[in-house]
Amino acid sequence: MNKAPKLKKVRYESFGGIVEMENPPLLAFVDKDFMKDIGYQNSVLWNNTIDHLSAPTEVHFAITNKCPLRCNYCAASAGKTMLGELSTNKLKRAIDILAKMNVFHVALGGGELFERQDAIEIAEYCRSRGIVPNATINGYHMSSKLAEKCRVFGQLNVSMDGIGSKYNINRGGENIFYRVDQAIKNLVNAGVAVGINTVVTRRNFDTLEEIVAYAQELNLKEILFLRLKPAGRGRDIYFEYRPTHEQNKRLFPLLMKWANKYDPLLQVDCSLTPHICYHNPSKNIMNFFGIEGCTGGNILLGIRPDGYINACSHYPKYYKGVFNLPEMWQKNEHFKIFRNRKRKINDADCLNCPYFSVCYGGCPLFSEFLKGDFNLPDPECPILVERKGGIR
Amino acid sequence: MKIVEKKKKGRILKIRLGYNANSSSISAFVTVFLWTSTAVITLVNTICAVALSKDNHKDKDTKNEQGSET
Repeated sequence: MNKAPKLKKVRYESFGGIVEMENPPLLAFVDKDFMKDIGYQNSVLWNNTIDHLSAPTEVHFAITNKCPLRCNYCAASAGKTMLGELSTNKLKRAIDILAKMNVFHVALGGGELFERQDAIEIAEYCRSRGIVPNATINGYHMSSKLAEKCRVFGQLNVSMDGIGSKYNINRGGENIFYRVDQAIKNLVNAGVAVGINTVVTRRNFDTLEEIVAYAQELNLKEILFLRLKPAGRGRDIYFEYRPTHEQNKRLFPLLMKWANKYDPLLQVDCSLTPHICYHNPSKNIMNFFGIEGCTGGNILLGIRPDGYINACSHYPKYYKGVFNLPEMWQKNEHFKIFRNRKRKINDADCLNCPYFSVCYGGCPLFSEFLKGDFNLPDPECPILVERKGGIR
Repeated sequence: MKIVEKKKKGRILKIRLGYNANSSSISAFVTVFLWTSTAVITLVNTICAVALSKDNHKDKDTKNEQGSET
C-alpha cells in the first residue's frame, strides 16, 4: 500500500524556506509567501541577504575508510582504517549537530560502510533525529540478513561499472560481480529502494546500456552516472581512463535514449552539468529541478571518517571539524571560496555561455587538477573544448 | 464573525527530487527532460496540496531562528 504524501520537515531560508516531502521524496525550495501560506510566519533569516543556505541539505558522511576492495579510481583512496575515525558516540554527536542545523539527508559511505559494525545503528540514529539516512556501498557484505535491516535507509546505491566479466573493467582486482549481483537481489527482496552508481570511463562507455538493462531486469529504482574524478587513486589513472571528448558529447543523448527505452530513472552527478549544457537543454527545466553546477559548501557538505569537513568530499583538503560546523558554515574561508567561485571566473567564453547561470563554470576539481587554478572553468566542458580548439 | 479565506500566493522556486544516495557528489535526474509540462504541473500541484493540507499547516508565530519544524 502506498504511503500518503506528507511533509516531513520545514526549514527557513533567506529566500523563504525548504520543505521536505517523503513520498515522493523531494525537497521543494519555496518563497516567503509559500511559507506563510503553510503557516510559517516571519523569520529573522528573511531580513538577511546571505546568498548561501543556512545549512547544507545533503551531507556526505564517510564513516570509515576501511574497504575490502582496492578500486583503481577510488576517490577516497579507501583501504585501511583512517587514524582517528570517530567512535559510535562521536558519530552520534556529529549527527546531533546536523539535526540541530536541520540537515535533511545524510549519504553515509566510506570506504565500505558495512566494514563498521555500527552502520545500521548510525542509520537508525539518523532516523531518530529526523534525518533520512542513505548510502552508497560496494555490496561486499550484503547478506540477506543484513539486507532486512537496510530498510532503515531511504535509498541504498550499489557501485557497479559493468555486468558479468566487465564488472572490474574500471576497478581492476578480483571480479566479484556475482557477489554484488546477489547483494542487489538481497536488497530488492528485502524491499529496500536500490539504485546503481556507475563511473563513466572510456573503458566502460560502450557497455553502459548493459547496466541500464540489468537495472530494468531487477526492477531497480535509479542509475546514477558519475564522472570519473581526479581525486584519491583516481588521480593516478585519470588520463588513461577519462572518457574521450567524443564520448563526453555522446553521453547525454544516450541517456535520453535510454530514459525513453527503460524504466529506471537516470541521474548524472553535478560535475556532468557542462556535458548536458552542450546539448542546449531547457534552462527552465534545469533551474527548476536543480540540475546545476558546483553547489559545494551550499547544498553539500563532506565529512571524513575523522570528523574533518569540507565543501565537497572529492576536494583534497579538509578542515577541523564537524563539532564546530555551525560556526564554520557561516565563517570559514574554505566554504566562501567554493561559494564565490562563480564570481571569480573571468573566462569570457564561459561567462558569455547562456548556461553559465546554471553551470557556474562546472566542477572546480577538474580546473584545479588539469590547470592548477580552482577559479578557471572546467577545462573538459565540451562547449569550451570546441570553442577554444581543443583544451584537451 | 465572517471568515475570509486568504488567497494563496506562494511559489515553488525549485525542486530537488530523490534522496541523493550517492556519498560523494550531488545527483540530478535527467529523466525530467522527457517529462511533459502536464507531468510537471501535476507534481507541483501535488506538493502544494500536501503542503497546504490542514495536517501539514503550522499556524504559529515562530520564534525559532533556525526555523525547524519536524
